[in-house]
Formats: sequence, structure tokens, C-alpha cells
Amino acid sequence: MRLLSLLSAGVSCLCVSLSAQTPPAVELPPGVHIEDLPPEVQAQLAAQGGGAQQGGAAVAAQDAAEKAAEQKAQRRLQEFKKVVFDRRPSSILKAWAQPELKPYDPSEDKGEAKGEAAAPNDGDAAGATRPAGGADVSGGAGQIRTMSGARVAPSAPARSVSRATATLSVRPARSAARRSVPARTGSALIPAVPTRPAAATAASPATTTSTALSAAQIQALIDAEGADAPAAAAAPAPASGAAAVAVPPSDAALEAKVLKRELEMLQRDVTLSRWDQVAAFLRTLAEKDRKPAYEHLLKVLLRHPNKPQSRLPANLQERNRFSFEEAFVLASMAPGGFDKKQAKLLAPIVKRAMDGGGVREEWIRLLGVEVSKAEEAQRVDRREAAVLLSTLDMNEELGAFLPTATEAEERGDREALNLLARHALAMFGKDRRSEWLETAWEVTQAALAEGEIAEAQKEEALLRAVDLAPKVRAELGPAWLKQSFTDRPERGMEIVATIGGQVASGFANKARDAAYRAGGLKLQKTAVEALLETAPELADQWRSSLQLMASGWVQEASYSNQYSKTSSYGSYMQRDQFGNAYWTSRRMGGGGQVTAIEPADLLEAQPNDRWASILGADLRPHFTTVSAQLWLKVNEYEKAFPYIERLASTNGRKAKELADEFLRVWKNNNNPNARNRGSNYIYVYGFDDRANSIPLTRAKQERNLAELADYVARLRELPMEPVDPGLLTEAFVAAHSLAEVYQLETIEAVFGDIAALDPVVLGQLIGRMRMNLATIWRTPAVQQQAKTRRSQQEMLAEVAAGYATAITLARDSLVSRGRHWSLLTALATLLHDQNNFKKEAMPDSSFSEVRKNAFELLAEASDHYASICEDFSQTEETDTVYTSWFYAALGASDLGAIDESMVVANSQLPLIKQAMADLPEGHRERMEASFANALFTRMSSVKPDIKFRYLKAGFEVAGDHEQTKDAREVWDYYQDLIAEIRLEVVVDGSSQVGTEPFGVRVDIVHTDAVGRESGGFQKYATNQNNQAYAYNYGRPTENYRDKFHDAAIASLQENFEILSATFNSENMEPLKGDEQGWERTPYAYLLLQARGPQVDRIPEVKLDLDFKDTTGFFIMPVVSSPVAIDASREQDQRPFDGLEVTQLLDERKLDEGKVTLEIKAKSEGLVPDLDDILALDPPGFRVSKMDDQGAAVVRFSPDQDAVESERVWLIAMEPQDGAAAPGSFRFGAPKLDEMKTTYQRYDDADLETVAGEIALRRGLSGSNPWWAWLLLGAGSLLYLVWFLFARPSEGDGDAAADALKMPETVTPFSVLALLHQVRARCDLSAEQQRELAADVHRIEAGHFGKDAGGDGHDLDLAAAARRWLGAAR
Amino acid sequence: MTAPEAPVARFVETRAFLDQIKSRVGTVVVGQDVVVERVLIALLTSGHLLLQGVPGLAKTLLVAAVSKTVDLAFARIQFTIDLLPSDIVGSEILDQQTHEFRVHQGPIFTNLLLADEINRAAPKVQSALLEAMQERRVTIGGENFALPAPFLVIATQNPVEQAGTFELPEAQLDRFMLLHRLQYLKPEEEKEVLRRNTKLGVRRDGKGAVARTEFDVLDGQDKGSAEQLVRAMEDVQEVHVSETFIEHVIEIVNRTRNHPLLELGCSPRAGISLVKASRARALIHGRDYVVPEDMFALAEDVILHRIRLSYEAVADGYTSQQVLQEILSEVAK
Repeated sequence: MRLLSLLSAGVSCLCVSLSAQTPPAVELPPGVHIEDLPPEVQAQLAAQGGGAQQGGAAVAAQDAAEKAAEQKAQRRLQEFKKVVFDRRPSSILKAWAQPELKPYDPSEDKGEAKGEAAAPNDGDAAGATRPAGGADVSGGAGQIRTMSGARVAPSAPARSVSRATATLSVRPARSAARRSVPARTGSALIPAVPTRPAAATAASPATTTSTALSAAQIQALIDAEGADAPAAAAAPAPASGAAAVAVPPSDAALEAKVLKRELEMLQRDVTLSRWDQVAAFLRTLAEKDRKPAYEHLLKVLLRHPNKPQSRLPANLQERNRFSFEEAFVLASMAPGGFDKKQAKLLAPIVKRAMDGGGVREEWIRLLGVEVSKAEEAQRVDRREAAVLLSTLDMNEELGAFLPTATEAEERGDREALNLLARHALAMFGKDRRSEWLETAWEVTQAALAEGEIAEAQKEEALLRAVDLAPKVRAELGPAWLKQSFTDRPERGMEIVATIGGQVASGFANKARDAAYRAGGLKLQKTAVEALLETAPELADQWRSSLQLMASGWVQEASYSNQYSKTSSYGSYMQRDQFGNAYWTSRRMGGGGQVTAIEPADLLEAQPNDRWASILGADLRPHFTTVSAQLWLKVNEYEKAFPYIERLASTNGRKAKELADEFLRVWKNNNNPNARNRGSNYIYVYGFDDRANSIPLTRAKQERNLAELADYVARLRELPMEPVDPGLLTEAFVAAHSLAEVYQLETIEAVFGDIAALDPVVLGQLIGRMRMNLATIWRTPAVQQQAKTRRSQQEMLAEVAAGYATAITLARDSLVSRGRHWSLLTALATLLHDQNNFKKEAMPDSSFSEVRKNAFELLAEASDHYASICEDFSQTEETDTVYTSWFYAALGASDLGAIDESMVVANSQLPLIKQAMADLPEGHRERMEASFANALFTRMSSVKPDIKFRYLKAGFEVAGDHEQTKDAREVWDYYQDLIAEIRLEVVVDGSSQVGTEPFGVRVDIVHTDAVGRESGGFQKYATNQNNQAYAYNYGRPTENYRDKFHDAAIASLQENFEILSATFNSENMEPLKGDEQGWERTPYAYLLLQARGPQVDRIPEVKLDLDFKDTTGFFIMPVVSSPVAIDASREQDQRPFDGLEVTQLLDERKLDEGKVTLEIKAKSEGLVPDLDDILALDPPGFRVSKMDDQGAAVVRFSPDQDAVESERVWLIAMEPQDGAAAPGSFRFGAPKLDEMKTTYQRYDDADLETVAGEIALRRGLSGSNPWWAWLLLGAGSLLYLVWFLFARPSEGDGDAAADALKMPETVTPFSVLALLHQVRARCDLSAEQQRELAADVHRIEAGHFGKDAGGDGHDLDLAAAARRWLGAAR
Repeated sequence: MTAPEAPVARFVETRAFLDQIKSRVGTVVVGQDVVVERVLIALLTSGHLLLQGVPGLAKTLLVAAVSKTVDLAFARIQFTIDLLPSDIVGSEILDQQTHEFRVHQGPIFTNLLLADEINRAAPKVQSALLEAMQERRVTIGGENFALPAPFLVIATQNPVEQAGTFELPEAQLDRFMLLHRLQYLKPEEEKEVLRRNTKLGVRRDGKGAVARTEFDVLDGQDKGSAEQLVRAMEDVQEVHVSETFIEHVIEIVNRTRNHPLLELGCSPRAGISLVKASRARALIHGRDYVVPEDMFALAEDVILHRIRLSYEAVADGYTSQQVLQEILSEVAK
């Protein structure tokens, strides 16, 4: 109660203090300390001057009030900073169409407000666009007082209230100003408020808060608002202590709502460009906050709420929009005047205005207008305009806004001088006149003149001076540099310090600005080189500084080497879609938190040798290493090599690493087989063929090898470990064209003395040669691609020479290095492959002997390996000997070269197994595991058709080793397939086939599971290579039908003549099999004819089926069982059904005594012989010739179990014994009841169906009647008479007129067409022509003119047509 | 021709401008009134024109004359088998001095482009030009360039039977609003040509001289302004097209699509072109509305190159002209 009294007293005091400015005494109740009170109340107490009785408490209250005000201001600022402004055109239009917002009125949610009082923590959540949090208590009070006083909605707050009470809320004032609502300052409800407008407006926030109402008072006012009690606000509220405790939360919630509304209104003001309101809002902030708030506003104005989410690229999305004028208005809003530093913040807004369609020239013009105003009216002055333009990178236009160089120099205006220099450089960029450079130089020098200069201005000028120095005349720039490092060393030091400092701090300060850092490094190089050139004596003196500068480069270079994605030094050529050449950069960027400088830029800024020479021993190796790495990174190995040489003397280990990297780069750069990939588009259209069409491989290869030999020799000289021989081998191999075999001399040139070469390395080299000889060097396609134009013989000769070279090398090495396992293996595999090669070229009897020798060499190699392997580390262990031996036993030394034609040397398999078993313990286990493991891992390299035999042989060596587990699974799968698929050959009909044609059907019999897993067997009925498009699941397309046909011929041709092979359709489906779970897919139908009665069986037929396993595809040959037949006895009738026979009689040459009968028969099954189906005996005729083309299988029947066949007989007949042809013909009579017969004859060229016996027709020529000729002659005579005398003459006008006729449909179109014809074709008088033209015009205008429906429209079209037709006639 | 030829009042200036062009062109080109009219139609409607005919019929002179009389930029490209698209549209070249790329704009950047013997160039080149015609912009080195306005291509092609030519496919022919088939001059016109030629005289050049050609006569011509052309183009848009007319155009187009002797009928673009061209022709003849005569006069040039006879029709000896005349006469029945 006491507290409430105090509160009410506070209100009274407030009123009194406002009117009389005499603070009344305030007495705290017993037991209540001022610290326990809410800050607002403390503030009131403080505002009352503390009172005599509460002296110390008053001071504390004053502090608390200030603190509260400060907190409140901070909250307000923080909420303001969360606001995002939406100035997108759609939002502007939307806001424009929406009703105005009103300041928050508690009556909006009065019930809720009461609820809030009961639930103190139920505040509004803070959000980016929904500011919440602390609210201005006094502002709220002001509003509420206004509302209370007015007894109306808060839309009519009194300006004087908010300003007068000096609360921080400007909303009522803004509202009043904007909406021109008269302030109710004179209201009796708030008598004290109107009395202090002016003073309060000027008061500081701390001061003004002294007039603030407490939260309880606010609540009381709210409650009183509805009670129509004028004095309620001032009257003591009958509240209890508990109620007082509940006040602050309610107060905070209300404040939050008020502030939230206020900020929403601010957002709306910004959206609708009410900048005066925005400025007013800024003025409501604490003075010290206004500038930061303004700058924050400039920053966030460009952003817009990221809603709704859009997938459009940012540049295509709707963005906040501004105009130039708004930029000026914003500048004018700057608290305390527009600052040049704020130009940087304003520049993006101007830029946005330009992006939105503003024209650059217009902006310049507006700026000109602005700066030409009276000074006090300028929103942007000349200097600010210049800074703004410079920030916008519009330095070309700066000139008009700057003083002349002389004026600036006289005034010592360094900023202007710097801006002038920027302007001059921009002009130089535009027209490339050197005068501009010199101008820039002069003003830069002026900026650097003695005197006071800001650090930033000085730094800018200094950096520019160093940059410009080498570009201007020698007596200017270079002289200045020289002078800086000789006569004025303090300036030189300044230069070095400035630039070096920029570089040193750039990595951290400009992490994302690689261009800036690269520029700094280049400047640094310029300055240091000038220093070393002009004042070498300073080098020692300044060594430490120069080293620091170099370390900056080293740091950047190390980073770039690690993170840059660029791998090229310069630009490279591309071609566009039309074949035109253009260049493009390879700059790829890269880096993490720090953007890497492009290697090319770094190398341009690299410290030169002179500079590098003064680096200390601690930095120089690092510098050398990084330099080499960087050059290697951009594939410029020549440039890197000197650094490697230098490094070798001090850091051999690092030099060796770099040398290895050097070889890798060299290999990539000098590989003549590497395709220069341009764009895919170009590749498709063959433009890239240009580079490959020049047969330069040999010359290029020679150059490459000479260069490699030179580098290797130089590397050998270096004091470091030898380079990795494996890399050397790779480089050597890469330097060769794929089409060229290695020469002994080039090997020696690169590798040096062969005798001194490590046997393992030498073995690898020979192995590589062997591999190439077995694969690419003998491939015609490779030769063709390399454009060597070698003939087949030349190519084989080349390969033979290659084998000879390699074998010589291996043998010589064996002599010089002893019987080493590596060399033995190389020689053995070489001999084995050469043997295969010879066999292909010209088989001879030495094949087995040579192969056996090769195996013996391999056995010797394995013995040698076993004898020395105990000394090997595990990394040196290799299974080369055993795998080579195994592959050779399969047929070729390389797994990929083994094909179906090669024979497995089964005798070698146990020897290999034993050889591995003879290895020392431990080593043996590892070797066996390795071999067993490789059995599966290398299966992908095995050709699909030998996988089965590969595994079979492999298991003989590896046995049941546990590492064969994966291979076993594949093997089991193969076994399953063998058990679940078979090929069956079924004779169509009886097996008593004689030596006549008979058919056999080939069925694929399989389990339904295999049919399902294999995806069906349809593809085996296709020739994929002949199809327009075929997909073979990643495999090369295959002509499966031809493949089976060839295999069948190979198998059957010894005993049978294969008359035809007919395949089931590509849509064939499996039929149900004889056994449960089995199916049968009829595949092909072979028409065979035994070559003699001795044939007693149909041999096995093979079909290669391909399947997919975990290692890829494999081919499984499925073979049929032989089928017994009897060709020794006469053939049994072949089964047939649905026989249809058509007999076609051609009697057109009957007059010549010839009649031809064509008999076509078709049936399901093979059509039988003619005698079996027809009794052909036409009376009066005899058969002079019969041509039987035999039964031809056309297709599989729909049920797939049989085939449909056709057979044609051509029978020539003539009258018997030279007698005259009889007058009728009788077709052959069918012998079988179920057959269907059709009789046909020719009627001219058409066919007509006739009865079984017909009367024959005779031709005109045969009778040659005289009366026919007479009739023809008479007709011709009559026509001639008519033609000469009776034919109507052409060009008859009447006839032409007669051709004109009334249109079928009377339309303007048809009538106009008729009238035009009348005019063109009839001879009308002049008068008629005029009339006609007038009619035409009337119709046209009436029906087609704009005012259709006029005179012409009324014209009776039909009547007009008739009239002119009549006139024409 | 319809009798009352007095121009509609508001078209008087335009009509005078067009007559001026025709008369100026007539001073150097004889007997090609119809072609001049077709060129004007193309110019006024921003369509493109394909002239088919043998060399020597003053095609180049005609187009040059039109361009000079209207003060338009003119360029001519002789199409040959080795022509590249970049020869037409331009390319990006590397300036060795500045090491920067510079766009070199090709001859297509003009107002009036004469593509001479377009069917001699490879299809790739043809399509590059036709693409530019369609979009009125080209891309060089990844940058888009709008072509000047107006932009009109007048292409010529020899009769397709000649060897070494690449016939334009129908889809590309469709891009041309009009295909006009040039005929040899009448004897009296040819006589006039020769007569004028005898009076050309010589042109002094330094100490020497060369015989003057008709092109030299062009140099002294007065020029009409581009503004006048723009106005004329605007006037075309004022020409009225009646519903009846549109219905008949649709009727013709539909008949070409359903005619048993035609394998390929007209595209919708044909109908559009016929209406546009008819409007321009009406303006040239001083009318502010189109009449059937416009349609009949332009039907061949608009439609013939857009239809294709069926195999059977060709085998039976029909020609496209016959079929079109049949269609037109049926429409007029």
C-alpha cells in the first residue's frame, strides 16, 4: 500500500515537477530500500532530486535511472539492428496497397494485456523481423497518456506528448506528423504533459527518463482507460504489494509490443520511401547511437528478407531497389552530416540504383547538380561526391569533382591528390596515353611531399608510386626509386616497410582477396629489385628486412602450391563450335579459408636470383624448394630444374623428392600419346583430329628421349640419391609413341650403362617392352591411329625387331649380371611371347620346344628367387615369377593376351605349386596367399571366354587356400550354370533322315531360375552389330546369330550340308520344359542334308552364352550331346500341317505353245515333295521342265515348336507331241484331304481365281483378224476429219466467256475473283471497265475495309456477278 | 490492280516515300517492279526475302539501290563452300598488343544484308545465318550482340538443280517470309537496260579512269531517312485486315495441309506471313485495308516454298504452282 502510495505520489510529483519544477519529497516505506525498487521507480525518485530525507538514496536512484535508460536505449538499438528492410518492387506495391499501421494500442488486445499481467513471462519472442524485447517505458507512458487523454485510439497521439515528455518514443510524433492528427495537448486528462515540449525534446535521454512513468503507472493508466475516470492516471491506484510485484513483467511486455509496432512502422516507412520518418526515428535514438545506427541502416538496406525461398540464382532474384534520389536522401540523413567514410556504405546503394536501370551518366549529372548547390543545401559535397565515385570505381568521372593538381598541392590536400592520381590512372586505362601516367606520377609525388599526411593516404601514395615507377620515364620513376634507396634511404625504408608490411599482413587481413595480395607481392618485387639495382650496398644492411619480405612470398607460394587448383602457367587454346581458335585462362582458384594466389602471379612476383642470393641459410632452401614446387605445379619442369640442382647441394633428401616429381611432370608433359582434350563438342565433330593427324611421333619421340637422357644425366651428377627407377621407367615408356618399339641405344642413353642397372629395374623395363610387343605394338589400330602408315608386313617386322632387341638386352644382362630371377623371368616371358608371335605369323615345329625352354627358364628364375628371397624385406617380395609362369602356362605371359585358341600347359601347374611350396617358411605362406588372392582380384583382366579355364587351372596351383574363397564362389556359380543349362538338338520328325533335307531344332534347356537371372535368351537371336542401336550391358555388341551359325558350320560341315539356319524371333519366350522347374527356349532351326548314307550322328553343337559375375562378364560355352540318326535308309516323311497350295497358270504364251504353271506351297513343318501332295496330269500337255527350289524355312511358327516353310515349283508345259494346244487346262488335283488348294490364272497383269479346269485364252496376234484392222483404220480416218474440220478453234472469245461461270458459293472472295477474270479475259468497253473497277472497289471496301458494312456491303454480290457474267457473254 | 489507287489520306506521306524509293530504284534498275515491291514488303514487315534466279538479274544492284535510297547500311556476302560461320557473324580475336580479346563483328551487323547464292554454302553456315535472322542477335565469344534495326536479309539462290549447292531444307526456307522467283527481263526492258548502260560514261580516278557502272549512279542518289521508314513500318500496322480475309487465308493454309498431292503443307508461319505481306502490299498500293488481290498476288511467293509435293504427285508430273492455283481457284469458287 505504501509502495502504491509512493507510485501515485510519483505520478503526482511528475506532474508537479513538470509544471512547477519543484521536486516533492518522496518517502520510502519502512523496510523498503530504493535498491529493491524497479529501476523505473528508482529513476523517478532520482528525478525528484532525492529529497532531503533520502539524500544518499537519491543519488543511487539517479544512477539507477541512468543505468535503466542506458539499458533501454541499448535494447532499442539492438532490436533496431535485428530489423531487415524489404524494398523489393513487389513488396513496395504490396505495402502501398495495405492500410497504414497505427502505433500500438493496448486496447487491441486488452484482455490479453490483462492476461499478461498475470503471466509475466509471456513476452513476445524476438526475431529478425519481429523485434521484441525491451520497450521504452516512458514512450509507452507517453502513448498511453495520450490515448487516455484523448479517450480515442492511439492514432491521435499528441506530438507534444511524446516530445514533451521527452521520452524516446518518436512514434506518436511521427504519427502525428505523418497523419496530421492534431495533438490533444490541451486535454484536461493529461494536464502536465503539454507543458514541456521544447525543453524535453532537447533533453538528453538520461534527463528525459526522469519524467518516465513506472510500469505500474502505465498499467494503471491502461486499466483506467476503460473506466472513464479522468483522474485515474493521476489517482493513487488501489493496488496491493503483490500487484506491484507483478508490474514490471507486464510493463516489459507492453514495451515490447510498442517497440515492435514502432519497428514495423519503420520497416513500412523504409519500404514506402518515407525517409523523413526514418530520419525521425534515428533521431529518437541516443545521440551516440545515431551514427552507428545510420551506418547499420545503410548496410542492411540492400538485404531483403530471404522469404520466400527461391531456387533462382541470386542475380536473378528480386532485390531491394533504390533510386539515385534516394541515395541523396540517405546521405542527407546522416547524423552529424555525411561522412566520407560513409560513402563506402552508400556506394552499394548507388550501384543498386544503377543495376535497377539508373544510367551512369544520370548519376554523374545529379552529382554535378548537387555539388553546384549552395553549400548549405548540398546533401553531398564535392569531396564526398569524389569519394563516392571512387568507391564506385568510376574514377574516370572523378575529374569534375576534384580541384586541380596545383590547387590540391597548394592546399596540401593529400586526399585530393590521391583521388587525382586514381583519376589519371583510370584515364590511362581508357585511352592508354602515357601523359596520364605521368600525371598520376606527379600527383602521387605531390601527395608524398614533405609535410603532414595521414597514414592511409601516405600508404596509398607510396604503393602507387612504387607501382608506377617502372612504367614512367626513366628520369621520373626509376630515378625516384634510385633516389629513395640512395639519397633518401629513410624513404626507401619507408617503401620497404610499407610494401613488406602489406604483404606480411595480407595473408591474414586479405585472406579472400588473392588479387590484392598478388599485387602486393609484385610491388614488393619491383621495390626490392630497384633497391638491389640502385643501391646494392644496402642489401647487406637491409638483409633482415629483405628476408622478411621474401618469407612473405615463400608463405604465399607454399600455400598456393598446396591449395591452388591451377596447373598451368599461361592461357591455352580452345576452339569454339565453329572451329575458331581462342585462348582461355586456366585460372582455377583454390584454397580454404585463404584464397590461394594463382601460381602464375606468384611466379611473376618471385624474388629474383639476386634477391635470393642474400637470403639466409635458414630461408634459402625453403625458398628454392617452394620455387621448384611452384614451377612443377604449373608443369614448367625446365624452370624448376635449376632449383632442384641448387637444392641438391644443401638438402639432398628434398632434392630427391623434387627430382621424382620432376620426372612425373616431365612424363605428363612429354607423352605423345596423351590426348589434348578440348571441349567435348569439338571432340565429337573431329576438330581435335588436327593435332593428331601429323605423324610426328618419331621425331617428337627422339626429341623427348634426348631431353630425358640429358636431364637424367644431370640428375645423376647431383649429390643426392638416384631418382626412383620406376619413375624413370615410366618416363621412358611415356616418351615413346605407342606405335614405336624401343631401341637399345635410347635405352642406354636414358638409363646409362645397362650393366650397371639394377636387375629388378632392368627386368621391369624388359617386361614393359614385352608387354607392349604382345599388345599395342602389333595392333594395326594403334599404328593407324598414330598415322605411321606401316603396312602389315612392316609392322610385323618392327615387332620382330622389337623382340630381338629385348631378348638381346635380356641375354646381355644375364651375361653381365648373372642368372638373376628378374632377368630370367623377363627373358623367359619374352621367349614365350615371341614363340606365340611366330606361331601366328608362320607356325613351325619349334613351337613346343621353345615353349618348353621358356618354362625351364621360369623354373630357374623361381629357384633363384627362392634362393635369395630370405634376404628380402616384405616390400621387396614379389610374385612376378610365379604369376608370369602361371600365365605362360595358360598360353601367354600377360593375362589379357590369353585367348581361347591357346592351349593350357597343364604339366606346369603342379610345378608352379611346388615352386611356391619350396619357398622358405613365412615367405611361402605369403606367396601362396598372394597367388590365391590374385586369382580372384585379377579376374577382371581375363577374357570372358577363358575365365572358366583360368579358374580351373588356378585352383590346381592354389588348391583350397582360404584366400581363394571369392574365386571359389565364382567357380561354384559356373558349376551351377553348367548344371542348369544345356543345349539340345532335336530332329524334326523321324531320325531316319536319309540323304534328303531334314530339319533339327536347337533348344536352350534351362531351369526357370537361370532363365530369369539371365534376363532371357532373346539377344542370342540377334546380330547386334547390324542393328541401328544395340546395348549389350556394357559389353561390346556381338553378332550372336552369326557366331552360333559359324560354330554350327564348324561342327557340322564335315558330315552335313547346312542348307539354312533359321532363328527364333527376338521376342522368343521359354516354353514349359519336360521336367519340373525347367524350361525350353527354341533357339534355331537348322535345315541339314547328310553328305552320305554313312552319317550316323549329329555332332555336338556349341552356343556361347555370356553371363555376369562379380568380376564382370564371362562366356560359358554350352554344348549339345550328339544325336543319332540314320542316313542309310530312305527318309521318312517329315511332319507337316496346314498345307496350302496355290497353282498359278500363265497362258499368255500359249500361242507360242508354252504354258507355265507355278505351284506355291506353304505349311507348318517342311513342305513335302510335289508328288506327295498333287496329281498333276493336265490333258493335252506334258511337262517339259520342272524347277524345284526346295523347302525353305521362313520362320518359327507362333507356338515356337515348329517352323513355317514354303516351297515353289515352276513347271513349264507344252502341248503333247507337237499337237495344237488344247482349248482347256486342268490344274493338279490335291492328293490330301486336309490341304487347301487355290487355282489362279493371269488376267493381263492381274491374278484371278478360277476353277480347277478352265478354257484357255488365245491372244489377238494369234488370230490376226482382218476386220480388226479395218475398224482401226476407219476410226483413225474419222478422227482426222474431225480434227481438220470440225474441231472448235482456240481463242474464241465467246468460248472464254463461256468458261466464266457463276461462283458456286457467292462470297466477296468468289465474286471478286470472277470480276477480276471478267476484266482480264473479256473485251470490255472503257465505260464498262470503269464500272467494273468501281464495283470491285465497292466490294473490296465494303467487305474488307475498316468500315465494312458500307456501300459495298449492301451491294448484291450475286446480282453483280450475274450482271458482269452477262456483260462478258 | 484495283482501280482507285488514290492513297488513303493518312498514308499520303508514306506512299510518297515508298513511291520515291521505287522511282529512285527505277532509275538504276529496269523492269523489276515486282521485285522492288517484294523488297519493300520485306523491309516494311521485317521479314526476310529469298530471291531465286540465275545470276545477272540485278539482284545486288537492286538491294544496294534500296539500301542507299533509304539510308540503310548495306553489306553483301558471297556464299561459297569454304565460308565459315565466323565469316558472317564475326569472331573474337586476340589483340597481340594488349593481350586482350577483341570482338570483330562480321558483316551481318548491317541493316540490309544480301546473302548472295546462299545455297552454295555449307548447311552449318546457312543455319548460322538463319539463326541470326530468326533471333536478330548473334553470340560471339560468349557475348550477345543485338543486330541493328531494321535488319533484313535478302538472300539469293540459284535454281537448286545446279551442282555444288546445298538445298535449303523446308524448315529453313520457312524462315524466309517471301521467296520470289526472278524472271528474265522482257525484251523491251532489256533493251532499256542496254540503252542506259551505253550512257554511263567513265569515272576519272586520279590520272586514269574506269567505266562507270550502275553502282556509280547510285552514289548521287538522294536519301530517304530511316525515320520515314519507321513511320512506314508503323503505318503497315494500321492497315486493316478483315475477318473474311483471315478466314480465307486459313482456308488456303488448311487446304495445303489436306491436299492429296501435297506431302507437306503450310506452317502457321505461312498464314502469318501472308497476312503481314498483304498488309504491306496494301499500304504500297495506297490502301488501308487488304483485299483478296493482295493475297492472290503474294500467295506464290509466300506459299510455294513452304509446300512439298508428294512423291506420287511428282511422278504424275504435277508442279507446286499447279496445285497452288487449284487451291486458290477452289477458294475463289
